[in-house]
Amino acid sequence: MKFRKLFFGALCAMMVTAGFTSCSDDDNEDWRDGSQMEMADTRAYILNEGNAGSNNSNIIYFDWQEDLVYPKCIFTEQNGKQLGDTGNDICMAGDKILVAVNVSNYVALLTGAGVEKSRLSFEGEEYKHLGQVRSLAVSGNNVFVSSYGGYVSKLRISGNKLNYVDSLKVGTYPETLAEKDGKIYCAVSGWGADKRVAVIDANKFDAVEYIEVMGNPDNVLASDNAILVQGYGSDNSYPWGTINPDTKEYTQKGNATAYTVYNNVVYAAMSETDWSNWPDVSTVTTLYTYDLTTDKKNNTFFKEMPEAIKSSSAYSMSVNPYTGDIFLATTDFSTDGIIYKFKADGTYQLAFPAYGINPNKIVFLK
Amino acid sequence: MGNLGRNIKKQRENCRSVLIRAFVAMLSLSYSTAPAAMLLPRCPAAGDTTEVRRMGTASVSGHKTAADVLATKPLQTMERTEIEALGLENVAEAVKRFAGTTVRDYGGVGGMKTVSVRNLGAHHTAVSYDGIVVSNTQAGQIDIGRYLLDNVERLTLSTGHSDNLMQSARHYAAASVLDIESKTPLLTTERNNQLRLTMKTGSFGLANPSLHYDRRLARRTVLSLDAYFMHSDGTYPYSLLNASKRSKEKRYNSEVTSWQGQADLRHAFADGSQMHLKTMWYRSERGLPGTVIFYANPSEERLWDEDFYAQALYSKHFSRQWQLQGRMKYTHTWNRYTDPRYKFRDVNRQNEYYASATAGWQPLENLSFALAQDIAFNDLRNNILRNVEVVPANPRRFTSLTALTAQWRTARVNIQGNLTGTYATEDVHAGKKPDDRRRLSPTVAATWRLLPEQSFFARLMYKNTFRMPTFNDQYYYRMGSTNLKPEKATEYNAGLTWSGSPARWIKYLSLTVDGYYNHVHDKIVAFPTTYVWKMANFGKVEIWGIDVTMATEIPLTRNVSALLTGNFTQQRAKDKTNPKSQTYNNDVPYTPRSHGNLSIILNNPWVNVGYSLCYCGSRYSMGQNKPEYRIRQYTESSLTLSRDFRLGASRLKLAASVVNLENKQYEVVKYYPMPRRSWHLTATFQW
Repeated sequence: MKFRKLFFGALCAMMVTAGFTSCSDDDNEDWRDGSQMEMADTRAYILNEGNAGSNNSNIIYFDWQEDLVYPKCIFTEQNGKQLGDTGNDICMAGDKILVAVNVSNYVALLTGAGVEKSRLSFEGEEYKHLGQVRSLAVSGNNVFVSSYGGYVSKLRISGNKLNYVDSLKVGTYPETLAEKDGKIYCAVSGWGADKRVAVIDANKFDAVEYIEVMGNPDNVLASDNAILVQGYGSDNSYPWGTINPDTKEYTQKGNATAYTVYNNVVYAAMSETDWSNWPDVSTVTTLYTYDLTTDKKNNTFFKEMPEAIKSSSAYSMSVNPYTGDIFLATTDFSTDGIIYKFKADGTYQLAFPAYGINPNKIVFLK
Repeated sequence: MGNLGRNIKKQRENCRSVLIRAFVAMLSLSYSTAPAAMLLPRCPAAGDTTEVRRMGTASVSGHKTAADVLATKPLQTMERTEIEALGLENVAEAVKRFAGTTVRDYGGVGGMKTVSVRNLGAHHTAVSYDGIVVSNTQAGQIDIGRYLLDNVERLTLSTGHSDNLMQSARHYAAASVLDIESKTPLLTTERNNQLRLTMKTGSFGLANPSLHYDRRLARRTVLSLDAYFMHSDGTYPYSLLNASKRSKEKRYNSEVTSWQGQADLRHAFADGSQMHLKTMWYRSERGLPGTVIFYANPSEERLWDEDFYAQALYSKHFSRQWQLQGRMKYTHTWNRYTDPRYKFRDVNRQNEYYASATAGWQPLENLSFALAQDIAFNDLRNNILRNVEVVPANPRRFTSLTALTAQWRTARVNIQGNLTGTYATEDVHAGKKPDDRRRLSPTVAATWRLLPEQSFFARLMYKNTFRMPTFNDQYYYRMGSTNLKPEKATEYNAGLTWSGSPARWIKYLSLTVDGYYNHVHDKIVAFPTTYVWKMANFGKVEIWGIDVTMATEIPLTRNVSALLTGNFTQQRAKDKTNPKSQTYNNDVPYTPRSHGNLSIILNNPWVNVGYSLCYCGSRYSMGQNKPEYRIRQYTESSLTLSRDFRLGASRLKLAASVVNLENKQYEVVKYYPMPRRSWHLTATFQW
C-alpha cells in the first residue's frame, strides 16, 4: 500500500510506503470489517466531485495525524468499482459514512473504511420522480436527502442497511441540508428563482415551513446557536448570514464563496474575479474568520498564507473537529484541486493535492 | 517530351470521355471554375507540362494521386469509386481516413461528428458543399455525420486552402477546407433521363431508402432531384468497464429519423458560362444518448433539426484572361433541444444571407490574380428555458471578407500568396455587443518541381488565420462573453511529394511527406472563475507533426488490380497556456500522438473487395494527463464486398459491409462507447 506524505510548501510528491496499525483508544474496530487495506484510526476522506459527465468523482483518504495521503480512490480500492458522476455530499453517521452521488443518483452507506454496505438509487421507477440526489443531513439513524425533483427524502439506517421512509416536496432544486434541534433546514435554490430555506420537523416529517433568506441559497450549516446559510445572492455577491432558530429571522453577516463553522467560529473564503481586465481575468481570494459569539470579523487570523491561495478559487472549507485544524480546498475546475492545511491557530502548515477535481468536502474520523 | 505530346493529343481526342471528370477536377486545382458546376468541360490548352503530368497520371490512376502530389498545400482526395468500394456511409467515415484528421465521434448513427485538421479544432475547418461554404454562426462547427455519401462524387481535404484561385473568400479564410462535391449528372451519357434507387439496411434497425432522378430538360440543362429517408433505432450493446468490473449494457436514446429533399438545376449557357442552382430541405429528430453515467439511466435529451437552403453558383470565362464566379445562398436553420430531467428547453433559429464573387485575371502566361469578396448577414433568435426567464441577446452579425490572391506559375515552380481581410460588426436585441472586428490573414505557399522529368516536388506553406467567436461563445446563457478576441492559428508546412511508376508491375505510386508546426493562441475556452464559467481567450496550443501518405495501384492480372492507400500521422499537441498549471506541456485532450489508415481495394470481374483499417493511438480525455484519463488505442477494420450486375440498359449494384470486423469495444470520446461489429447491405438500381 503506497502513501504519499503531505507536502510542505511546494507540491513535490515524495512516495513513502507505510503500513498503518491501529492506535485508537476506541476498542470498536467494526469499521475495519471488509476493508481491503490497513488504515489509520485518524482518517479523513476528501470527496472530489470531478467533472460532470466524466464519472471521475472519487474519495481520497488521508491520515490527518501522520500527514499521509493515499493517492487513489479509496472507494474504488475497497469496492472494485468507481464512485460515479459528481459526488455532491459526504457526511458521518456514527462510525459510518454516507455519500450522495448526484448524476449517478444514489446514496450509499459505507463503513468507516469506505466499504459499501448499502445503496439506495433514485433511478428506479419508484423513486425516479424524486430527481437526482444532492445533499445529506443526519439525525440519529435518520438520513435526509435533498433531490432535484424538489424533494427532501427521509431514509433510515438499520444496521448496515439503508431504507427509504418518505419524501416531502420542498420547492425547486433544493440544495444542502443541516440538522439542528430536531429540525432539518434545506436551502431551496430554484436555480436562482427561489430565496427560501425550508424547515422540516425531522421526526414528524409532515409539513414544511419557509424562512426567507438571500436569492439562490446554497449552503446551510448548523452551529451551536444558529443556522447559517450561504448563497449566490440575487447579484452573485455570495452573501452568508445566520437564521435565528427561534425567531426565524435571517441576518446577513458577510460574503463568502466557501465557508464552514466550528465552535461558533465561521471560517470563510471569498474568491472574487476581477472582471475589469476581462478577458485577462484574475481571481483574488481572501480568507477570514467570523466569531458568531462576539459578532467580530478577523481578517488576520490566517497567517503565512501561500501566495498561490490568493489567486486560486476557493471551493470548500472543512475543520478537523479533533484538532481544530482548518482545511481550505481550491480548484481550477479541470485539474486536481489543492488542499491547504492551517493549524487551529490559523498558521499555514502544508499543502497537498486532492487527487481529484473540485474537492467538495472533507470528513474526519477517529 | 514525345510521350507527353502524345498524351496531350490523346487527352484532346478523349475530351468527352469518362476521364473528363477527373481532368476537370484537376483544372479546378488551379485557375478554373468550380468543379461542382461543370456541365460541359472545356478542353485544356496544350503546352503546360504540369497539366500534362496531371492528365497523364489521372488517366491511369484517377486524379487523386496527382492532386495530392502537385498541390502547394497538403491536399487529400477520396473519389466515389473508393467510397463505394470501402462501403462508407457518411462523410465523417470517409474523412477520418485522411491523414492528420481527428474526427470526434460521439457514437451511433445520430451522434455528432466533427472534424479537426492537425488539431487546430473543428471551428477552424470549413466545410464546403458544391462550392459554397456551409455556415453555422451559432455553434461554429459542422456536423459532418449528417452528410450522406450517396450522391457525393469526391471529397477533398485541403490544409490551408486548395490551389484553386476561383474560390470564395470564406475558403481562403479557413485554416483547412473539406470540399464535398456532388456528382455531375448525365455527363457521361447521351440519355435524357437517369434514375437511381437505393435501399440500405443493416444493424441498429437501419432503413435508408433514397431516390435520385436526373432529367435533361434541354440540351444544356439538367434537373436533378434527390429524396432521402433514414431511420435507425440506434440501440446497440456495449460492454462497460467500471474499475475492474465489466458489465454488458445497451446504448439507448440513440434513435434518429431524418428526411431530406434536394433539387439541383444545372445549365450551361451558349457563351460557355454555367449556372448551378441548388435547394435542400432537411429535417431530423433524434435522441441524444449523452455520456454513459455509472449507475444511472440513459439520457432523455432530444434534438429536432430543420435546415433549408437555396444557393446559386454562376461561373463565366470572359476571355483567356478574365473569368468570374458568383455565389448566393440563403440558409435557415432551426433546432429544438429538450432535457426533461432538468426542464431545459432551447429553441434556436438562424438565418444567413450570403453573397460572394470571385474575379480572376491572368495578365501573363505565368501570372494570375483573383479577388474574392464575400458578404454575409447572420442572425440568431432563441428561446432558452433555464428555470428562470432568460432574455436572449438575439444577435445579428454582418461580415465582409475580401481575399486577394496572386499566383506565379511556371513548369517547375508554383508560388501562391493570399491576403484575406475580415470585417465583422454585430448588433444585439439585449445586452452588450462586441466591438467591431478587423483582421488580416496572410498565406504564402509554394511548390517546386525538384527534377524536371520527375514528379518530385518540394512544398512550403505559411498561413495565419483565425476563427471568429461564435454566437454561443459570446451570448450563451451566463457563459458567453462579448469581449472575446478571435482565436488565432498559425500553420507552417514543409513537404516532399513524389509520383511515378518505379517498377513495371506498379502502375503508379505516389508518396507525400509533410512536416508541420501549428500554433494556436487566444484559444477560446470555457474558463472557470469563481463558480461561473465564462468563455475566454485563454489557451495556447503548440502542435508538431508529420503526415505520410501513400497510394499505389498494382495490376495483378489483366482484369484484376489492387489499389492501396495508406497514411500515418505522428504528432504532439501540447498545452502551452500556463506554466504553473497542471496541464502545462500535457497533451491536449483527444489528440492521439499517432494515427493511421490503410485501405486495399481489389477490383476484379467477379466481386470487388474493399478492406480498410483505421488505427488511433492512445490519448487523454482531460487536459491533466493522468493515467485514469488515458483512452486506450484502437484499431477498427471493415470489409466490403460489392458487385455490379448489368440488366439490359440498367444496372444493379449489391454491396455488403461489415464494420468493426474484430468486434472490438472502443471509444473515440470517453464514455461514448462505439458500436461493436455491425453490418449493412446496399442495393442500388440504376436506370
